[in-house]
Amino acid sequence: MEQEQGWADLQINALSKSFRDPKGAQVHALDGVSLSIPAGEFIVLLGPSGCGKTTLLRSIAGFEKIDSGHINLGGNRIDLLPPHKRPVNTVFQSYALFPHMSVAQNIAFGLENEKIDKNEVKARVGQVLELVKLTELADRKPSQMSGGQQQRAALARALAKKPKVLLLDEPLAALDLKLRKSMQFELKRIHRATGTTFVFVTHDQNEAMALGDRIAVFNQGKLQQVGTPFEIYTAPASEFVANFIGESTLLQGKISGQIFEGDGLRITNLNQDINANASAKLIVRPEAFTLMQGQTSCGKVEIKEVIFAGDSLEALLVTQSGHEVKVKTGASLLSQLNVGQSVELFVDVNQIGQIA
Amino acid sequence: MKLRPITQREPGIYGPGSVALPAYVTGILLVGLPLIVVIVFSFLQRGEFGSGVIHKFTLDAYRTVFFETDLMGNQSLNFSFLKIIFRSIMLAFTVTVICLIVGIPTAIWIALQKKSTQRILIALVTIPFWVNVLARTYAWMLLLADGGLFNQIGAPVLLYTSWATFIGLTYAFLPFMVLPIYASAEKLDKSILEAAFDLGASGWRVLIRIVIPMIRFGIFAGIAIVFIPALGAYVQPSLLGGNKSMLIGSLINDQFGESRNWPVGSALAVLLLLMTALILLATRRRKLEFAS
Repeated sequence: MEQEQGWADLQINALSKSFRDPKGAQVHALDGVSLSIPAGEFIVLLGPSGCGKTTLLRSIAGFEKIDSGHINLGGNRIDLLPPHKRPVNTVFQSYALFPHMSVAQNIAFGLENEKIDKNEVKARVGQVLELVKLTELADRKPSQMSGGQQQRAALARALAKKPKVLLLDEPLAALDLKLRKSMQFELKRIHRATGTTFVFVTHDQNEAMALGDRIAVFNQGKLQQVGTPFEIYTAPASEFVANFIGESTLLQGKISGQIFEGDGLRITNLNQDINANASAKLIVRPEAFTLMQGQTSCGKVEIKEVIFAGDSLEALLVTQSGHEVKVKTGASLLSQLNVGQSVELFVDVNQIGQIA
Repeated sequence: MKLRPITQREPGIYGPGSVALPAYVTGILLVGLPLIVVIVFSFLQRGEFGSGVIHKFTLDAYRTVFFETDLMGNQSLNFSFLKIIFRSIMLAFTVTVICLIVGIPTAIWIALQKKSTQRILIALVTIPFWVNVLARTYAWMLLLADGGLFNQIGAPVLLYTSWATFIGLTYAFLPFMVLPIYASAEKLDKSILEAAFDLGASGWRVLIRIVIPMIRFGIFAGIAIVFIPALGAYVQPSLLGGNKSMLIGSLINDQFGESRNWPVGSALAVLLLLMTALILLATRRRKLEFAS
């Protein structure tokens, strides 16, 4: 697969699509989206429902007609091709297995559409069945299998075609939590084993974090931020991204001389990469705050709510100006914290992000 | 509109004396009793002046159907009845095939439209049911007659030819083919069709390998409810086809009318019923094979 790198890069260029909702209003499903996906990457398209991530996936597959822009795969324009001529394959949310065919027949169907020798078809069906660990169930009908097994069958069917890009449309959404977790590991393993580009759509931020080499966050048809899970989490580019991925507290105020003042808090010794600004916005993750001594002090806060989460305490605090702050702190403090009590809040200045 | 056998019966809900009682009463009064009368009549003697029956057991009616007696009193097999049966089957078969060829694409096309459009199209398909079949057949007579609309626009006079019979029967039974196929096509998960295209299948292959197998129950139902009534069709062959070639439906009608031989008419009806039952059994067995 190494030699395929480079010429199977997926380029999405200024893609736009709008449609009319039932009330007749114009909705921008995709609004000038540009994204470059190198071959072999596992990229996750993340966002709330209706943000355009599924429209983008379906545009790559060829099920949606785009209004403007183009899609290139390895330098060839593919957005004008009909779906059955594109070298990409899809794993559908509903699995979309053919109910009247066995698993092996489902997988062979895609191969029979190419002019492939019968023995070769058989061999490749065997290979992908082994890859997804379904060899024993080859002759089962979809209705005789569990959701997780159907999921694997759908994956095998798409992979058998050796697509340049595998599109996955919320494939784990219908599985229960435990199965979803184990399928996430399976997907990572299969991605490594095949070296195929995976474009994975989800609205579940934890799933996105767990799976993606990179995450592309969408909102209202616009691409908000692209980056590694670490970048997206630690340096969200906008308030939307900060709120959509994990929990965070937004602090608004004035920064000068590496000191922040606002929302009833005062933070000194800010990092050098935080810029002075008369109306600054800072993003702080709950785990960057602490109620334990030792970090930079922010000021006094009142405890509004404490939730024991096993490995940690989640507390909702109110600053003197009435601003709410979310904190994740050591579980050992449980006995010392009471609702209504006034405590000192500390922060790790290295984990403070700034947004425009 | 799915004709599937009920496999699990809960006597409390479906048994007699339950909410299903009206269905039982209707079934017994309108189907069971007349059927028993027909079966009994077929084993009785012909009435003195042709009408009615004499309550005396005999197999004469069946003997008349299958054998003929020459002037010398010798009996030999009578092939004319078998010929009529064969002709009727061929007619019903042809009509069913035409209805399939026209009905399958129509039903699939309707099922692929927007929901609101689907409703309108299905209403259009059922509009002919609002008018009595006899009235509609007379309307076709006017259309196909010498000087009728079809003749005026250059078509030959089709009335009283077997073409007219085919046209009339196809017209009458097409909705019965379209509706059950539509009912199963409408339930097709669109993403399954997308998956088939996604896997590189052309439109034709998607139709043959995916769509038709998935709507097969609708197709079986359509075949059954077109073929069976077409087999005993009487109105269209006599009014449009001019009764030029005898069919089983007309033959039965004649026995109760002009020929005044109720037992033979009943015997023919019983034979038609047996044949229909055999055909139904055959298709049902195929259904079960497919389902398993």
